[in-house]
Amino acid sequence: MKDRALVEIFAKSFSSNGGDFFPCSGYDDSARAIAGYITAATGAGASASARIFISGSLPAALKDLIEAALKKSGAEFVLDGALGGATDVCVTAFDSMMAADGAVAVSAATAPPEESLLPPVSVLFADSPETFGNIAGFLGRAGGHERQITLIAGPSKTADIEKQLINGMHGPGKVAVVAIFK
Amino acid sequence: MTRHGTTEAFDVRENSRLALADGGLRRNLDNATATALLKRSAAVAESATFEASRDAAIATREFSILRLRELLDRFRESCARNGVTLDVFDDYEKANRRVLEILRSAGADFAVKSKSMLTEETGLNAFLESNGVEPIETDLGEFIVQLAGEAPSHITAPALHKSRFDVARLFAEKLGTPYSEDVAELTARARAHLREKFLAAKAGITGANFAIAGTGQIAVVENEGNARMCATLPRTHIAVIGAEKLIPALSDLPPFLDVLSKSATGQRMNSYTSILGTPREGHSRHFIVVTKKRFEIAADPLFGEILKCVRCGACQNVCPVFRRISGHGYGFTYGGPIGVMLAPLLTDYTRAEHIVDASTLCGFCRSICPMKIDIPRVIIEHRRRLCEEYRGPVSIERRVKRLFSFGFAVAMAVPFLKKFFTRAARIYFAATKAVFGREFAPFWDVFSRRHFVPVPRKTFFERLGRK
Repeated sequence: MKDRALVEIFAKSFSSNGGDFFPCSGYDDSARAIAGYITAATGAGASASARIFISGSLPAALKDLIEAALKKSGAEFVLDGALGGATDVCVTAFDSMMAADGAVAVSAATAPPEESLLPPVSVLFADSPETFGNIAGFLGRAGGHERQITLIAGPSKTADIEKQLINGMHGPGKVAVVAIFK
Repeated sequence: MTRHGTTEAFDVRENSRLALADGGLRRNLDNATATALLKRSAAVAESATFEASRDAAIATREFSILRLRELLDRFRESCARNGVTLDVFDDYEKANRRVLEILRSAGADFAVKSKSMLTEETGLNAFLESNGVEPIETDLGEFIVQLAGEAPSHITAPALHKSRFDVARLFAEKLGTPYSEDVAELTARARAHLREKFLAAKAGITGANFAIAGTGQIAVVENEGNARMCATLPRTHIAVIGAEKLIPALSDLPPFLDVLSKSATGQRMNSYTSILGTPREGHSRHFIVVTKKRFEIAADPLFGEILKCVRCGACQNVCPVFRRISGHGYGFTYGGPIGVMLAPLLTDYTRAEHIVDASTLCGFCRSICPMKIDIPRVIIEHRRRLCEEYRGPVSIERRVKRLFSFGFAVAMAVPFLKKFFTRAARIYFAATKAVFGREFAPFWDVFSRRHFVPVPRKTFFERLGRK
């Protein structure tokens, strides 16, 4: 019950930070959510072909299901063997969620940092992620000895020109969190 | 040259005169600072934690300021455990030389760099350029001011003095891209230009918002993702850190993140918070801590308070002086109230003589400062020291001004004198208008830098009484 309340708070906070959140019940559900998001975010199939990289940090079974869901949706896409400069979307893993802050933590031990940084669209996935009330709870548990932790709270953005908010300055302009809660 | 020394004073008066004549600058500043204040108010109003975080952050900073040396020793030990090199310098040039040395050993002829006010303070970019290494600023605002050959004009929004038309002209001229006034398009062009640099860079330089003594990590807070790229894509990462950024433990960090995101950019949380320690395999990480004047400032019971500053820029957004002359008006690395506080301490009273005067002491900065720094009190103390310890004999001009000010104060304090002089002034101005066709005051330009405003026909209270 407590976890459900935290997930609801996270959904609200992350969305207000400019991200999209998809709580799912299993791999099938997650694969459909990921494929749907990629299609909508890139216009794949409608106007373009999307180059997608699925990180090795994701379970192999989920990778196959995402590919199948993308094919089923009629999306035009190419699966990249490695993250490259032309990659449009990267699906990678995250560790934990912080509800009140609307942020997820990605440790360098879980996935290389550039996977959630370089492509214009980022999809972050976790199966039963640990959900904390806020950053204080997360950092209290983390102990601080991980070599690198990045807290991601929405898309890359800037307002450096006339305070006009523009997403996707250097990092992804669109970010989705897909998580399985059992 | 000033009469007190051999170094040149920051020329706030001349800078202000130029800034006040620039209507475009005023529009840009009004727009940017008003938007920032509205966003901050909304974020603070929405937050249930802001006040508690503020108190916790202040307590941590007060604790840390008193133990800077001890925290630095702990940070050194923790960095050694993490495989991060740490150098400590109390001299800007030595710190810059160390950066250059690391860049050379990495074989870098250019380095991507994220926003860092400390490296502005140390003059790192000019130093690297003069030694054949190109520093490439990657924060959009910093990129814009670097292309324009300027310094940042605000702590968190370096190009707030520029309009999109200014940026459009700049990009067309310097990047050779087609002219566009569309902000999204301009942003995309900067992104494309800088992405190539990120991917080719052998070294990246960042600052640090916080340095965690107990774990040997730094925290870098940002929205664009450029600091993440500078710290993780190149094989060599250098962070230049002010000693005042030290906090004891990772558990002390969350209140600062809460306070900083809301005060600086009006967000619940910044898009990216990177906590960086042990480098990845095949990568190296180097921390350079600059202690210049920090220990002396920390030891002063009043000025030590300045080190609580988290560089959010909120004081700049509310300052009536900053909002007219921008950071450039001060001529010092830091503009606005934080600059007025720091300039005499990081340089000296001789150079900062006019900066110390660049405040109305209205107190808005004190009310908005998330770390509750009593900014007007610090500025008044600077003025006291400047007058008593650094300014030479009082000039005749200043003596005459003092006499006029004293006379004016007496006239305004005694009701019948106030009434008498107000009426006399009205008659005088009516007479000058009748004779010369305009109201004027003789010698005004000699004795005052303010615009001449004639006495109104009715005082505020007379108007109220009539209603």
